[in-house]
Amino acid sequence: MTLPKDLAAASATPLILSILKRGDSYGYAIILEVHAMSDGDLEWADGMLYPILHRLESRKWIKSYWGEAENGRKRKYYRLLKAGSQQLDEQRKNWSSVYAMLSRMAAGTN
Amino acid sequence: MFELKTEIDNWCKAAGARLTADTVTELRDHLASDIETLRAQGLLDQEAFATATKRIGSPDALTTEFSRNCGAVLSVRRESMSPKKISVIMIAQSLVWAVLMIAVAAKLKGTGTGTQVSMFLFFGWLMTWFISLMGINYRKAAACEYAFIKRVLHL
Repeated sequence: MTLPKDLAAASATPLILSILKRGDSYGYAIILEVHAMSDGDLEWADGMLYPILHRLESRKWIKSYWGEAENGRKRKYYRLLKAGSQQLDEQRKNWSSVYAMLSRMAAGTN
Repeated sequence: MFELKTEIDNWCKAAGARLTADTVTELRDHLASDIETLRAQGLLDQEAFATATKRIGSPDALTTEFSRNCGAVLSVRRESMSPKKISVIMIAQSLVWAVLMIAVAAKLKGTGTGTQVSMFLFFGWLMTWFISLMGINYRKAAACEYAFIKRVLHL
């Protein structure tokens, strides 16, 4: 099952923030992690990730810095900031309340 | 013959026409990482490049995505402009505001409100100055200021 595009787009921010909560990371690794964790249910176009990362940075939820890959290539890493962590908590609560509501409704109809 | 490095360079060059140098460096790392993964899975250079560029999207599509997201149109444009170019815009804006201020001050001379209105216009000029420097980092903003002062001194 592949998630519809609008749901994939809506979940992008909390997923990126969740990954960065576990430690600093970079674009390609974030994409790989999302693919692996979603078991292929979530299909992100690789290119959509970077504008989102830049937007999160402009909101001061994450911060970027340059580092080096193992082969010496320049690589941009991202770190979660305090405001991003607070945002993640809030978004988790929102998603949980939607999930709880859907569950209650499903229980009511069964 | 297919030259992987040349193809990646060409892709980045096309992306660089519309996106900032930093963004292109970031995208280059993504592209190269994906190609490495695909080659490790047994794909030939050409196949790996075709797959990776298809996944990341064309430079045009990426620019659209950047513009749609993060309100980055301004920063995309400003960041890809040289400080010299931005300083020309700043000079043009300043000249327009200066002419406006002088005209208003002359028109309202003797009415007692000329100074106040001119001050109001001065703040308008300051606003456009800051807008000119929006979306770029401090170092580049300083370079723009320097280029601006240099040009004014040469006028």
